[in-house]
Amino acid sequence: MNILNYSSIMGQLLLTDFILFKRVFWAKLIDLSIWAVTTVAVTGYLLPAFGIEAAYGSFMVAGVCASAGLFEVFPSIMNLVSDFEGDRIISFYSTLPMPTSFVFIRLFLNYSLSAIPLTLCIVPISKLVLWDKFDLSNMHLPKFLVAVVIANFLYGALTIWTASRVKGLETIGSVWMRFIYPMWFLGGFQFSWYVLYGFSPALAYINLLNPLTYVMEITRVSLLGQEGYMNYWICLAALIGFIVFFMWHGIKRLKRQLDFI
Amino acid sequence: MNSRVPLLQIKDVYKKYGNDDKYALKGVSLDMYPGEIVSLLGVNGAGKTTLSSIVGTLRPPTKGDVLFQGTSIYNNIPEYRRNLGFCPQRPNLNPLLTLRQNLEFAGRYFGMTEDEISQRMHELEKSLGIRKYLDKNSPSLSGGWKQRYLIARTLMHRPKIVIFDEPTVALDPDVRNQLWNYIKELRDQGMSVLLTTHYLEEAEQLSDRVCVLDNGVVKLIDTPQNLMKSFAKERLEDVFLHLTKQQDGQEDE
Repeated sequence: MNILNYSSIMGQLLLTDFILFKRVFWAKLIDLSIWAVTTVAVTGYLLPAFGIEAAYGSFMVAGVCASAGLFEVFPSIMNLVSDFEGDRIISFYSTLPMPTSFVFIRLFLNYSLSAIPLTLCIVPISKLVLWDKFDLSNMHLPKFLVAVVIANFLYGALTIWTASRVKGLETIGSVWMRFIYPMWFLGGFQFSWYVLYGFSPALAYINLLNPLTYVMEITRVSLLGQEGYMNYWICLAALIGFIVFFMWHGIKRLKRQLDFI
Repeated sequence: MNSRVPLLQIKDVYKKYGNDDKYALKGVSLDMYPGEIVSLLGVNGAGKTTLSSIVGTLRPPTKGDVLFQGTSIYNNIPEYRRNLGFCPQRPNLNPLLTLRQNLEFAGRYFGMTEDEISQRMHELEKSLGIRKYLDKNSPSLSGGWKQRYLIARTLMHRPKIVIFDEPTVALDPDVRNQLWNYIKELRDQGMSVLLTTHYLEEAEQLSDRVCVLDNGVVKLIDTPQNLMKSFAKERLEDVFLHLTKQQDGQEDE
């Protein structure tokens, strides 16, 4: 009975979020499209002129798909921390008839679910840009959908965890430059894990601690085929592990930080 | 001696924040009865907001318990929250939703049907006069209007206990009077109200009992009339001033 009640409240909370998301969807899609088109066009047409492999454009499509949700992480952390230090709208939600942890689970679902439709738009946009340079014959649609969902769940969990580590608005600017950007760029946005392994096995093994490595790899496997990338199921298992850890630790820290029950 | 059964019992509650050695509350106990307004009075830092946030389940106590209808609220917090309305000092309406959406969703979060929500909205529109800006968003409103909608949101699900944390701070006197009348109506409807306030006139006007907190300890709990009588003062404000002077004197010694 309780589970039904909580699900109903959660459903209403997510409906609230959906109403708000609908208003900003097109603006967000335009922003993301500009980034995606620019990146894919440059890597698909311009870089091959400098001697880079012709298929690099399609390789980068996967990186762009894998990264789309990441660009929502920083603004979400900003909003969350501003609320903690400002009006505390979160306090209202923490007095709803459900366990307090659900307040954070709702935020996680909101951040994750709202990034999924944006991410899914990248493939058709990229296909239009690259056309015959982007071969979709190796794409495994069900695996790709799972990869997109799990990638954005990771970003949702990462938002909660990172917000729990931020001391306040005055230090939030460092989050992108010191934490998210290096994690993203070293996580294989522009290269695969095996390429890094060929360059330096030690660095490649260290990079296994970076959750974005698995996001990039799982997206590439599902979009471009298994060859040359980490095993799909290993990536999936690792990502589930990271999501569970980030959520467990993030919620624990936020509850302590906000002195919630 | 009150022969009625308490609706809410605050039992020996202590509160310490983080690694701070100082206790914000030191063994506070207080019973609240159905259809009663209890005001928490005290200077800044006395522990009023800490106590109301513990009763409002925003914060956990360090030690002690809060019982609702004889059962610890910590055994089933969601169930207790169904009976609770918490109105914070700072308006925290969702600024991205219209005020109507804020209220409607508040009803839905508490499992109200659309008919119940619509009926309750009509009641609140009438009693709080909130129809005017329902389709606006909260940032465009003045503090007084925001407060009305905040109170409406707090009361959407017909809670049994309502906590008002400084509800009339920075409100015009006429709006304040309207809210006072409305809070009295809530009591008449059987709701129990825990009110934290700086305004002694407000406490005197509204309260069935006042609880004076000082440095995290309950100094006195009684009706405003009894307090004025025992201290031979004509106004609650004079009683409060007398008590704070007494405290200052003790600290000087």
